[in-house]
Amino acid sequence: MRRQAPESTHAGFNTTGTLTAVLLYYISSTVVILLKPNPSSGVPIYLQLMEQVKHAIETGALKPGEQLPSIRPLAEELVINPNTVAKAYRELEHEGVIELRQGAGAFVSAGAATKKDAERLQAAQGLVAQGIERLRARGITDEEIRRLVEAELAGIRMGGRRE
Amino acid sequence: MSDVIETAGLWKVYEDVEALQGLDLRVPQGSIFGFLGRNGAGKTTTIKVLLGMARPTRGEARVFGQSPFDAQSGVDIRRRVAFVSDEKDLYDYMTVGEIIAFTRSFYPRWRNDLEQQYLRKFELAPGRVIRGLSRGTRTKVALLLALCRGAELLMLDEPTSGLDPAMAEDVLQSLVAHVGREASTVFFSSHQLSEVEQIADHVAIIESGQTVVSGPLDELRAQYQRIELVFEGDAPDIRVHAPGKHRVRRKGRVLTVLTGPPKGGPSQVNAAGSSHATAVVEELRGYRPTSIDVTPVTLKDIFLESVKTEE
Repeated sequence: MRRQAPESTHAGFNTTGTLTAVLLYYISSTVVILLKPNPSSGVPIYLQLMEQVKHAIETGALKPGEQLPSIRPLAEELVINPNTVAKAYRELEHEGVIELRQGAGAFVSAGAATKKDAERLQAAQGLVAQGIERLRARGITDEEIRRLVEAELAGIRMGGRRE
Repeated sequence: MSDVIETAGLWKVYEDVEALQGLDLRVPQGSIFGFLGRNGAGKTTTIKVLLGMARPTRGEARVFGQSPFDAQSGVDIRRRVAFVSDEKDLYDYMTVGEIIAFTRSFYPRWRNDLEQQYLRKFELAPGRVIRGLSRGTRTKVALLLALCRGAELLMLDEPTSGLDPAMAEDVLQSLVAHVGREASTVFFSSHQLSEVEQIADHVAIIESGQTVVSGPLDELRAQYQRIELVFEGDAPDIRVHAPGKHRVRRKGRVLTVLTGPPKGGPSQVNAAGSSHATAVVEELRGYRPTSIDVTPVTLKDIFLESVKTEE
């Protein structure tokens, strides 16, 4: 642990106390927030990791401005490829969820909380699109889908079973 | 990213066995590369060629851009590569401490800090004689010797075979740490596909001495999808015309299509291929199923699909 600490933390941090605090933060955040991905689910590990980080931000377990574990300790902790962690972080940065600061590490974006809504809606849109596709595949017309959705929202269960 | 291992049209013929039949392989620097194939597919022969232990009948093999069969570069390669064989052959009469001291004497770049770290982590007692060690502990000793050499390329032949899940996880963790620590590369063969999925970012699947699938794991996965259709009556007997390789299975009212990239096409995967499942779904919709579900596939699915002989 002592060997890798200076590389994985910030340039200006040289007092033992701060260093220990940062290391403790890594350890606790890694253990508390991020779980080992399931390699055999068919879902790429970087996507699972991205979901976990987003979920942690949504629940408030990670707050804007807070630091994420750095790549190598996290890869070791989760026993996954460091390149996979790096890929997840790059994608999260691309989506504006986190910021990668040169030499300092990854931080939850200040705007992550506000972007959350737009993103949630985007994700929900995807679910709706999938649902509609499946209903159409079952031969249900668009008009029927509309009626079903409205009925569901109105709290009326149309006979049959719910999934 | 440059390639630390590169082979082109590699052939190896033993007596009357064609162990390698034009194998193409590219292992990018800094990757954890899973080398997969059934027993007898040519994995061990490939490793032997790369280490300069078996001369190919024809074709090219390069490690760090150099030939393993040139006297001078061969020495350089063996200095920069650490190999952990399937047998984990160690001097049986030595103790753990003795074999460490013995090996250390050959390598000026030996990492004493890592030696201490892995002795603790692997819970190895320096006084124990190698002969009396379990398979798992032998593996850990062999791995410690490889990790402490400061090698740029670690080659391992089935590093976790015969290990319990906790020991296997320790081994995988040490490989992940190794790649993260320096700009090193790990190339390992394995039958444990879930482990490969867990730590590898690149894979190659070989069959009958040829590469049948290779590329970044995430891109490979995006190219394969399982599509399940349910019909009102018996599932129709269909042929998929959309490009790609498709395996169709019918069972009662259910039809399952496993769709992948075109057979005989380039074995290297390009990133653009992910939408071809959409074309297949579009085509299948024409048969008016009552439901269509698209689910992701695992490395095991891809493996079984790639190495199966034609039915």
